[in-house]
Amino acid sequence: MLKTFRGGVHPPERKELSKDKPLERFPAPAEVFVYLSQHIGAPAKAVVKPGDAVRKGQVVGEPQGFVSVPVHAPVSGKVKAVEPRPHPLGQRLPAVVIENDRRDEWLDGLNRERAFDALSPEQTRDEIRKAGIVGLGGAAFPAHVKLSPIEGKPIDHVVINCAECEPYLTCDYRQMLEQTDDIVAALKILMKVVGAANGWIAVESNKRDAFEKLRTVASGQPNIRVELLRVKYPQGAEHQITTALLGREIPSGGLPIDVGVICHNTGTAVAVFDALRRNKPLVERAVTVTGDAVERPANYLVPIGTPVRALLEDAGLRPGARKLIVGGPMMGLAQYTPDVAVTKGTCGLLVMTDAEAFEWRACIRCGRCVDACPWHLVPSYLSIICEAKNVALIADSDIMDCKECGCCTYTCPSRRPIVHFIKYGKAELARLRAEEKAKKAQTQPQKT
Amino acid sequence: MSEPLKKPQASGTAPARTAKPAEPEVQFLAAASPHIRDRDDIPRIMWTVVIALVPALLAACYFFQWPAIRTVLIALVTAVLTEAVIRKVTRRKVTVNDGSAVVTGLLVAFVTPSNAPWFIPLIESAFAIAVVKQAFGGLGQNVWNPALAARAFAVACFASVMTGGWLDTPPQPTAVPPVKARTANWVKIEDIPLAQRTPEHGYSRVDETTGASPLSARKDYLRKLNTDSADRAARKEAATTPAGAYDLSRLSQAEKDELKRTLGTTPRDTIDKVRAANRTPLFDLLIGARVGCVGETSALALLIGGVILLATGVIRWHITLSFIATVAFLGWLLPLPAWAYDPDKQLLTRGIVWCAGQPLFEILTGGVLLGAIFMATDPVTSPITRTGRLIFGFGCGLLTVIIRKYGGYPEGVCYSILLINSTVPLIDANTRPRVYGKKK
Repeated sequence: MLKTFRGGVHPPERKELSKDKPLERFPAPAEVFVYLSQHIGAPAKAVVKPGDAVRKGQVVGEPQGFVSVPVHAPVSGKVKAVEPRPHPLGQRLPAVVIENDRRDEWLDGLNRERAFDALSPEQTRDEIRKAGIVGLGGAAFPAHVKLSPIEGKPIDHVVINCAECEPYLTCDYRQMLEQTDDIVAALKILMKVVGAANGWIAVESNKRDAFEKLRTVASGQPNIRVELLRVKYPQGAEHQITTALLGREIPSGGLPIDVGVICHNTGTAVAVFDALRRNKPLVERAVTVTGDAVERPANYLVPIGTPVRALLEDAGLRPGARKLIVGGPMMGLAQYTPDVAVTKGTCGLLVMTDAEAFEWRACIRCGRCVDACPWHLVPSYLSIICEAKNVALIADSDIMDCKECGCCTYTCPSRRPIVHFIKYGKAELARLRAEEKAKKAQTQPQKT
Repeated sequence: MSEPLKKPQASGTAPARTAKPAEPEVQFLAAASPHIRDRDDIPRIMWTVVIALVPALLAACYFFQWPAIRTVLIALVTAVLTEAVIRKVTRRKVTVNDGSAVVTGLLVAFVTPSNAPWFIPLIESAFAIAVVKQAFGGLGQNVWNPALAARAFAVACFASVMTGGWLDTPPQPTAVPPVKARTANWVKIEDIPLAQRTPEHGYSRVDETTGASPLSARKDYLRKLNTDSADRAARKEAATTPAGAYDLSRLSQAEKDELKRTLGTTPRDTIDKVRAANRTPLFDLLIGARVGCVGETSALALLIGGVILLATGVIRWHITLSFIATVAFLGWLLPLPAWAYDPDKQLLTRGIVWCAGQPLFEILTGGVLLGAIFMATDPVTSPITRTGRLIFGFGCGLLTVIIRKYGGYPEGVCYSILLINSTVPLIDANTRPRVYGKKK
């Protein structure tokens, strides 16, 4: 019996489209544009201006605040502009546009092997921060912050998340097969940084060969266990991996560190190792380009800032391509334009022919969403109160525990866009809270 | 601005990266995640239910023939037309093709006796769709099960026809002897001379064409025994003993023989005798060779339908199993009043007999299987959580047994489900799952 969690769904995996395509380096096109907003937390501040020459790995955006990391140039060339560009989140956000001189020149001192064993945990964290590393599983949370100790919350388990539970995506899987040593080495580094006694590598059972390879490589390590988990979406979510692997439940509104655990994505682990061992800042990442509307599905190592358009032209679009998704089919963001660029959080580009705009009916209370919700909410109820725009009920509900994983909407036979309703409900709730706060500030006299 | 993304050529060759003359832009659809859906949608679910009802439909056509077919057709057509007309008249989208009206029509027919006059399924079906479903808002919004509420309405309006009172009407051929090999056991009541007819003849497998259903026959038989015994106890010739028994030594010998034959020496014995008087074989109950409404008689056909529904994921096991298990267990456990006659001491006593029910009989007669598999599991009118569903099934089973044993009607499934439907919002509110990461 493989470990698993309660709830979840099992959509068709569709990984066969790209799982056997080894990672290939995608050459950066003539123009790349790197957003200054690459992660949760404050965006970076541009430190270059149009006309500046830049080298690969050079800092082009300085972090603002603690929960922020620098942004680096992925190519050598000349800064063409610092201007808003369409961003996968939907708005136009400032980006550093770089004209590629195709000379691929790293900044002095970067991309060079070095020793790092002597570094203290603080120094290691700083190197990780300087390398601009964020969680590459999609959430893009600054990695050094996750590794920073919190008073009263010791960490005893570090988990490398090799679940890759989203259908279609295979970039993590390829890294598990081709960069196995780096992953295990990174786990050791991370365990040392946070002082954890136990290391885990969690793999879903549809990646047996990767599991075997990781187990072989990790077999010499005393405190590292490679574990197989049942294939179910969203096994790769931090909550579900923590519960399935260790039986611990992360408190509502909390993080894995609250139960002594931290989780890092496969790609993040590889990036951490690259940063420490080869002094490489985060300028490229593994991306799966796939979908039934793509001629040549593939796994690429893509420079950050590569226009999606270039990747799609290379992969070839079939007639009938209707939906372009940055990410996976369950939580990815559908794009209205291909003029966006790859960010640090882009795991995949999924182009689908099936883009039915579903017409939805009333909830028939079948209960599939209740069974499917990995956080054990009642999505049917949430969808009804959000559709009715009943802010009082929304405020009283468990809506903030919803992680918008999409399990409920996937199973709903009435085709109700539950996640969409919930996003709307959360926005309404935020508006209500902001109004309440403003009202409170007005009624309270200013302190002199 | 940048040139539009080239529309891919139908031949599928890779487009070159050199500039091409402007071609129509690929339009990408932006919508909220997730971007994939599970295969099951409402029409698929509804049509699966229809398929699951087909075995019972076939059984009904075989046993009840034209009257059943007529009932089904009337109910079906009325349901679909009513829904279409009402949606049109209220200027809302006509939703007939989602299959839910078809399911309601079939289920309405299934809870109607086959020889009910044509206007019964018509009125039931129209009521189910118009009042119970559409007046509350349409699919997903009704509180009560439409087919059962329609049956309750029909019972209120046309009681004698609906509850087997067709004994009062001239016998009509409504059923055929089910299995040729067993024809030898079928005897028409009219063929038995009046003097030789015993009360059990109403309770056993003699001419089910005009008999009562096994359930109502059993209840009537026991009730008659109890009533007759109570009458005798109340008569002048009976004297009450200090122990609370009734001394019947002054009654006529014929009456005492009658009592000796029908009652047992202890109340439990009496119940055993009542059970033995039932000569409906298990086989007949399983295949459906008994009196009942159109769709409720064939246990096997309904069970096949249930397996189809479970296998396709249309229903979960919680309601069905807890309903059936509760009926079986409480049907066995809960007490019945019974009289006993001790021929040696010539004393008539009264007692309560616990744990003397027949679990299998309870499940296979009446509408338990139809109710537990197709009615109670209606998603709209049942709880949304697993715990809630178990409670719901238990409540339905409990009320069914109580109505059957102590209530006025021989069958309690219809009313029990309707009553528990009313409590579903309460059940839902109190069986919410514990949110991940929260204490309660």
